[in-house]
Amino acid sequence: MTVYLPIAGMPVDPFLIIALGALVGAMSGLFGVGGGFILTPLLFFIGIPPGVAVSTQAAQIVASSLSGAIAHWRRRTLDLRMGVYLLVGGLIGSSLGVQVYARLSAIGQVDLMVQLFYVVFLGLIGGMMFIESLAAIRRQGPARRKRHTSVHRLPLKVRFRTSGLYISAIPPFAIGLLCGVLAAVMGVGGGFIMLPAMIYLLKMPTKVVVGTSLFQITFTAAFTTVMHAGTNQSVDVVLAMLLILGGVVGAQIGTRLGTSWRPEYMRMALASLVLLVCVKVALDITLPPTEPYSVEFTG
Amino acid sequence: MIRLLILWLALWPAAVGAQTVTMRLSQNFVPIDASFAGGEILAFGALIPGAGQTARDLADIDIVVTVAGPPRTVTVRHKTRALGIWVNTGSTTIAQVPSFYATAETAPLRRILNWTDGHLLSVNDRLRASLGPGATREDVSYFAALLRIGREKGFYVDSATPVDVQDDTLFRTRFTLPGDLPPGGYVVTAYLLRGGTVIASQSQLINVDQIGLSLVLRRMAMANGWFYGGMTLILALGAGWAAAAITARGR
Repeated sequence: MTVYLPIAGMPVDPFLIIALGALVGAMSGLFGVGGGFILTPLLFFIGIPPGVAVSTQAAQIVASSLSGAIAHWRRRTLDLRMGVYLLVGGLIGSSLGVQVYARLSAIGQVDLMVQLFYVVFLGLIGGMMFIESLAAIRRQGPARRKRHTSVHRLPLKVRFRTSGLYISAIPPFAIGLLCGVLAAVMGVGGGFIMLPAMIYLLKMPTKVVVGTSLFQITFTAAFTTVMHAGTNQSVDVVLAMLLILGGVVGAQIGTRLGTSWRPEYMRMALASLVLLVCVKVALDITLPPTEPYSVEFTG
Repeated sequence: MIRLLILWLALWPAAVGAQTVTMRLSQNFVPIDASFAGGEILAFGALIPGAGQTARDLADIDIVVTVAGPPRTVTVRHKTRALGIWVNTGSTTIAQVPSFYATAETAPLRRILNWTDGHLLSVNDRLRASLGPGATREDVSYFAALLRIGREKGFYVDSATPVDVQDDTLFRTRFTLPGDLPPGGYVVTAYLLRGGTVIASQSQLINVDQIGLSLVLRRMAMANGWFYGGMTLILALGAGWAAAAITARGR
């Protein structure tokens, strides 16, 4: 059985797509990230054109992060004000990112840029998270954090009640901006960057971090979806629906698994996964390709 | 006088009552619907002997059937190593390249074809024609890559299936269309060759197009991208909200 994707212009096995969605949904429930950094390369691998994979991915992220954000809102583990500051940056970043994507696509360097972004950001974040979680496991207890860093000396201070913080609005805005650009160019939600940034840079309490990041990601990804559809005509609604179907089921499995794991081990598992994807992409761009030429039909 | 005429007839058999070909296809429209996964086209036809000839006069005729997809512009990019990573450093754009091309024939093309004939029937010759004259060595390497990748991905097919001939007059062959073939007009042509020269041909058009929901979605995405994006967004938000609602009820 196959389903034809109207925008990608190719038939796919729907069960394979649903399974991929479920795998990523499970990760999303387990770790609190969108999982785009794994799904996008997997979609490339099964032959979905990169442009369609990146744009459609955004629609899938909308569904998975909205359901997560609603759950956190009910549990009051979502800092709405912080989310809005992150979001303002995110929307600006996303519109920049879509333009960057269209420009790179025109000069034929989009694949390389996406791959470089992957290596740099996944490497940095994965490495930092791995070292931190290893240290946390060694200590066998919660890390003692310095309450004041350079972030706390910036102007435009705002009180974030749910997070119990009184800090400048600039860092949340900047983090949102960066994640917005990444979301549009890499086809990821940016959760894997936002989570560590909120914990280590903003010093937000861990319990509100996931909900707040999901809130921001929902809206950034929503904006990215519409921007990609309007600018690049590359969102495949059939592919999106299949991925969402799998993602919803997977998220349930992931959330159940997540409750039985210790947070340090979970962070370490996520860090290992992030590093693994980073190494894979790094090898892809440094090892000689089997086919140095590529063909693209345009017009 | 009569003897001379007979001799002349024997020497120029094609000149008098030339053989012709008639061909039909199993379908002239290939609909791409939601469950499309590629298709098969059956081409069949008959060789028609010229006036005063019998089927025997057709025994030495070779048949080549070609399928050419809608011409498109192609960009071929080349990666080279720069600063330790592989980057697209060069590219070339070739206009009017068939997006699909396949041949089927009664005997290997290099045996059938007379190279001086000028008919570009083989995959290599047909594609080479879109490169145009004055191609540099670099252009040739891009062209070779296009051919190599196209053959690997199945949009350029050499000798798809043999052309099956019965009683020296009836022929048939089949072409497999891949699932990711681009929509548009596909031209199927049957060529009759004698001694490497094309003596007759006939073409039929196949229209490949998306139908139903698939077509509606594609048109909407292309013509009203913002509206289409908004619709996709509403579906995604609805799915996310529904998932949260179901989860909450489950607890």
